[in-house]
Amino acid sequence: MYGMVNKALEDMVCSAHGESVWESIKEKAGVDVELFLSNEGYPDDITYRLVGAASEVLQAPAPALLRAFGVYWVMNTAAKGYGHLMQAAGANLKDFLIYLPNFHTRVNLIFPHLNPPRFLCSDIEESSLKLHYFSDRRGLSPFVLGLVDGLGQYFNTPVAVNQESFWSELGEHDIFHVSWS
Amino acid sequence: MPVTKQVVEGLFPFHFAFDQELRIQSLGRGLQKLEPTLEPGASFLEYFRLERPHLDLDFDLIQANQHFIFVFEPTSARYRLRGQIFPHDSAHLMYFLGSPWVEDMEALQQLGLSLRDFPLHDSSPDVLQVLQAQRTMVSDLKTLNDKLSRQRADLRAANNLLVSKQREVHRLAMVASKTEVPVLITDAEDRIEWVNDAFIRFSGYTQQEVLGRSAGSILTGPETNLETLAFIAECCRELRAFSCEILNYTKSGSSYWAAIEVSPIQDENGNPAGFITIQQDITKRRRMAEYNSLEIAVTRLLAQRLESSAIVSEILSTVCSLLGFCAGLLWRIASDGSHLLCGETWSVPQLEQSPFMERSKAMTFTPGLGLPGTVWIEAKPKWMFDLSRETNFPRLPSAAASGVRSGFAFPIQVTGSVLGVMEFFDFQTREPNPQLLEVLARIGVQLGQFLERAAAEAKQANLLSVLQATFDATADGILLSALDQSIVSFNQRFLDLWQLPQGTSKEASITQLRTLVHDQLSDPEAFFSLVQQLYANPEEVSAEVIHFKDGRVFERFSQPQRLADRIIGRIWSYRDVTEQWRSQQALRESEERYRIVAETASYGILTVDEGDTVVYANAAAGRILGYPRNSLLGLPLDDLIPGGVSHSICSLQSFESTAFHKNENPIPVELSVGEYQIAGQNLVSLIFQDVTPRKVYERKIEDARELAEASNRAKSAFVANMSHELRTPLNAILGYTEMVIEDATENGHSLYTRDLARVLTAGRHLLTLIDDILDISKIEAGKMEVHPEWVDVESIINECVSTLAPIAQKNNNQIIVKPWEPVGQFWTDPTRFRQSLFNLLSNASKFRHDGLVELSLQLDQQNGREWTHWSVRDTGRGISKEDQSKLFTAFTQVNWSTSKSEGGTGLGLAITRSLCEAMGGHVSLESEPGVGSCFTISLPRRKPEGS
Repeated sequence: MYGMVNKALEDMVCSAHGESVWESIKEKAGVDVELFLSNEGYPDDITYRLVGAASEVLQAPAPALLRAFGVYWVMNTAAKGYGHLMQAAGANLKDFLIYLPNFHTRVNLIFPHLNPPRFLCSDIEESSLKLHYFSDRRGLSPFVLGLVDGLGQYFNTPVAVNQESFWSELGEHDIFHVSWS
Repeated sequence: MPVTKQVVEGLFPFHFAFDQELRIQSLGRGLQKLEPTLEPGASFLEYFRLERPHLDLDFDLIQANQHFIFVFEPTSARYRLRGQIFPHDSAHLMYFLGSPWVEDMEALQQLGLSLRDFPLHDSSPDVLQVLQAQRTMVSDLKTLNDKLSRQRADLRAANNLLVSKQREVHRLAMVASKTEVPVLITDAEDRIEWVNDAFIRFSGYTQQEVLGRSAGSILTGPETNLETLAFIAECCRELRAFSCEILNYTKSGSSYWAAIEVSPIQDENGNPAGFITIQQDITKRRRMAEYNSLEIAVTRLLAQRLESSAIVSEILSTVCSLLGFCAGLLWRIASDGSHLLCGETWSVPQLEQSPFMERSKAMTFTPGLGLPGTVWIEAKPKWMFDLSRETNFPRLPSAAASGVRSGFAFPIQVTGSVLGVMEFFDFQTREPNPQLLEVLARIGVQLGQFLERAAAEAKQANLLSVLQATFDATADGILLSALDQSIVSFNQRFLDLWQLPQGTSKEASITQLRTLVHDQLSDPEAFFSLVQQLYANPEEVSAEVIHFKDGRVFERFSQPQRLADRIIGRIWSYRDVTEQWRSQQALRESEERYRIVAETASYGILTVDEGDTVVYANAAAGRILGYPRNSLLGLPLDDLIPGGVSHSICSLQSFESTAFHKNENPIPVELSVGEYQIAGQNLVSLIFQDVTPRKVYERKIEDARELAEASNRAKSAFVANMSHELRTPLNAILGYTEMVIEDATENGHSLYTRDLARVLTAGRHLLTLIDDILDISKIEAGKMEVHPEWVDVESIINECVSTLAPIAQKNNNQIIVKPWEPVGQFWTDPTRFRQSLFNLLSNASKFRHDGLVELSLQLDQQNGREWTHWSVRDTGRGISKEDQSKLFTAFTQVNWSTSKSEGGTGLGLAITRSLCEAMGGHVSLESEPGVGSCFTISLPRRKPEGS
């Protein structure tokens, strides 16, 4: 997992609850990492433990926490740290989503050992599409929902996203139906 | 496959093709976005500059160097194009196949491009993302570096702190062992584990004596504050640091005040291991604080408005209480300054009836005697550390009996003069304390100043009381006003004089008062005008007279009221001088009357000064002396009436002198002289009268008197001669008559006897009459003489009574002689005494009938002499007051009818009175008409001394 993910999670917790809570979460998760490097790969287990510990410490369900984290990721981490990249990736939600597979292809080329997820758009309509999410990691679909929510806010576009199929059912990947107005 | 224009366009959106003249033949859509004005046909030299390689822009040269990476920069210099030259199939065209070189997305955005403007094969976006990832990585590294730096700084600080702590511990260890401040370390159960050398020196204990012992058990003592101990125990239980002040004790038992700072100690595992205590001796500071408290307390006492005796008692109590003394005494200097007397005292209860206090109260100290006498004479404090060692402490036996062991005294003085001595005593021997003596010496000066001030205040209060009493009791009405004319004060007399309402308050305005007095004044305008003038001139002093409509007259005196050199108001004093004014008025009128009298008098009046120079003369004086009146002024008195008559002052008695007329003729004058003072000048007034007419008249009178006296002398001589000439033949007649009667009786010629007896009786009466006339003549002639001798009065009395018995019997009167104690002889003229007594008895027997005539004698002492009082009391008609005054006058009888019937010349009582006076006595009469009369002859019994 990107270090920026863990780092974004840390930023979200610290901004809302303070560093001491984050230290508690880390202590509870058994994570003894002083600083997460954004583009450095960390074991996925760290992220899962952090999310699980945060759910306990903050007394919030993990899916809700991950979806909120998705929103935070777009609106704070991506928009502030990679804002120009995001703007270059598309002038609106639809373009951005369509370009998203290429975006991650480039990431994969640059950081091949990070094993980033893969995205694919289908059924592209004027105001909807289907977003296919391929990842070896499990349980992060709420995070994808939060990402889409956050992109809607970023592009100031009301958006609705539903997970139409789940990895376990399809046996291959998650599919989300994204519509906007 | 031929490279078509479409292929080139799709794969290289930022390409352009140019001909040999370097003119643009075609360009990609991406380049079109970057350079909107660039169109085919344009010379690309106008738009681009070849940055790399360094070639002249020449078609052939470009073609020959197509193996280089070509970098073009537009004239706008906003970006650079990176690519390569590729020849077109036609030899006269070449392509530039490249894309913008941007280093970050922001630059891409600023060029108006997006990632979608790049062909998918173009790695420029990937480069951008790599660069972004690098920047993120650098940012993360910076963050990490900063965090590590902070941690390193924290570690360094912690290390420094640790080092510092280690050094501090080292220093503390060094200090603790070498410092003069006592330090001790105890375990958690208060057992001493370690003490430094200073503690050993200060406490007097050895290490061995204290180690393992409870700190509290060896340091605290009987006067250690229990609340402080409880506080310490609580802090130790809670293992917290604390500091406090406590009274500790050394091994020798001496107490000292210590400020202690106690910190808990933990072992390497953080468990409580004990306490470290740093102790500082603050005895001096505490004592000074106590002394300061004492001085403050005394100062507060002295500031109270109490009687000096109460203040002194409070000070004695305060000093003893604050400093732990058992007794305090004040010695005052006796009024004659010879010794000290015990004044106020204070002691703890167990000393109140002690021999020491009783002895102290009974003693006096002369200068130099004992503790107070020594302090008195030396005028400085003295400390007696151990009374038993003192040779000049007379109260030692009583002190020893009462347990008093030490003491000191200090003088109460002001400006070097000792007013008294204050003593304090202790049950313990107490080392001299110079600081305490200094403090008490200052208190002594304070107290001295207080006592002096109190005496001055008492004196001032007394003076104020006198002034107030005077103010209230004075006969003058007094008003005090401020410069703004407001009323400050007035006395009751002021209200009375001005007839103001009794309830008039001092807050009344001056306007109100003026309204009340306005109508009383004869001239209010003038009155108030002057008042305003005086207020306008505060320095002015004024005295004037105020007249009232009802006739009252006031004197008003006004002067400024000063405080130091400053005028703060005005004093108005009013005195009712109505009576005085009237008296003066009467005097003026009297003077005028006397002036008129003097000017119109017939008497001459001259007034001379001390030099006998005439300063006043009335008209009569000028007329008598022949001068114009004014010409007399300035003349010497001697020129007018010589002889120094102005010094012949004889009050109210006039005398005669001689004045001289202007024409130098003498003038007999009768004058009187009076001396008096006017305005401090001694003046003499002479009032004289020309007595020339009277002198003439007096000459005539004198001549007549001389003539009368000559006649009287002739008469007396004649009477005397005549009496002699009458007595001689009359005695012959009486003698021969008695002889004839005797012969006739013997011869029985009783017929002649009765006639002869009548002749004898008439002759005797005639003889008596002649004797009386002779006596009265002698008396008038001043020739009556008495010849006193020692006389036996009894025979004289018997003789008189027996002689008068026939006369009394004739009128049926009874003569009674009241018995008296025998008086023996007394010094008198027997003839004249017999004659006087006979006269009284005779009158009493002759002039009444059927009555009692009682003779009695009383003796008494008057003015140191013995007197005899011979009283003849009758029961006759009595004599009126009017007649009593005539009774002793010659030739006077009260009732002439009686005289005729009873006989008598009316000379008897006059002769008796003269005889008694000649014998040194007198005769008196008490009579009441209808009751009777009592004549008394009073004569000295004894011969006068020296005669």
